[in-house]
Amino acid sequence: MIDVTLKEAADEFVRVLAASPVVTAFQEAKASMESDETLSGLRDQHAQLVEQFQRKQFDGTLAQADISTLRTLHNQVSTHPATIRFVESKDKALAMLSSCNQAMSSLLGFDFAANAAPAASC
Amino acid sequence: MLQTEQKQRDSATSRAAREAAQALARTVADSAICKEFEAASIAFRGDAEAQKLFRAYQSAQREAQMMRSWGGRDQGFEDRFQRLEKTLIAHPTHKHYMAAQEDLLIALKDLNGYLTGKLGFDFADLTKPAGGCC
Repeated sequence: MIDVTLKEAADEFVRVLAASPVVTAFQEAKASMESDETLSGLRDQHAQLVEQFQRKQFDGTLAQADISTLRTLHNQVSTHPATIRFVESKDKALAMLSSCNQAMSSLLGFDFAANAAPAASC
Repeated sequence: MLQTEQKQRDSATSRAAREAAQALARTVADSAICKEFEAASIAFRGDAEAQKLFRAYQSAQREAQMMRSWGGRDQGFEDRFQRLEKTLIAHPTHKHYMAAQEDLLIALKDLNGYLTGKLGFDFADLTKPAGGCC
């Protein structure tokens, strides 16, 4: 729950970011990547295969065919146009967003993003 | 010519974004939760007894890690370590500092959650320093 003053400052920050072409390009690329059904299917399949891969690696039943299948699927996901567009736009937006985090952090005396980000999952 | 204009526009947008980020940070810094954390931090750093306990705890923690890494176990040490931990946790200045820190972290995460909802991407997760897993 954030108070009114903080909400106003946050809204202004969001408004300025939303006016930036690099940020809007990233937002659009992210939305289109998430709504692409083909890519979504490939990513689900990839996640399942990674799980199977780890299980087989653990019980010693991993075969060369499993490695090839996973590699092929990984390639399909990473070379999908929506993924490429997402990665490229993210790189461009990141420079600007990181400089915003640096500006915030130097004023606060601690890294804003490091402390405000959700807990990492491994 | 067009490239120069584009670069100038990009630079103006970046500057405006940094200024808005600084204004947001100033609002965070002026908030009661942040002021409380600063006060608790100063009090903790200035409390000789709490600092002595904290340093003793850190040293015992390092020793415990080393002991565990080579599989050693000393029940006497473990008992002393746990007593030290309990004493530190119960120390009023440390307790206040930890509570203020926790409140600030919750507030920062709430703010980031608000930004995330508006932006459509997780601002802090995207810009946090890269680090190893666990």
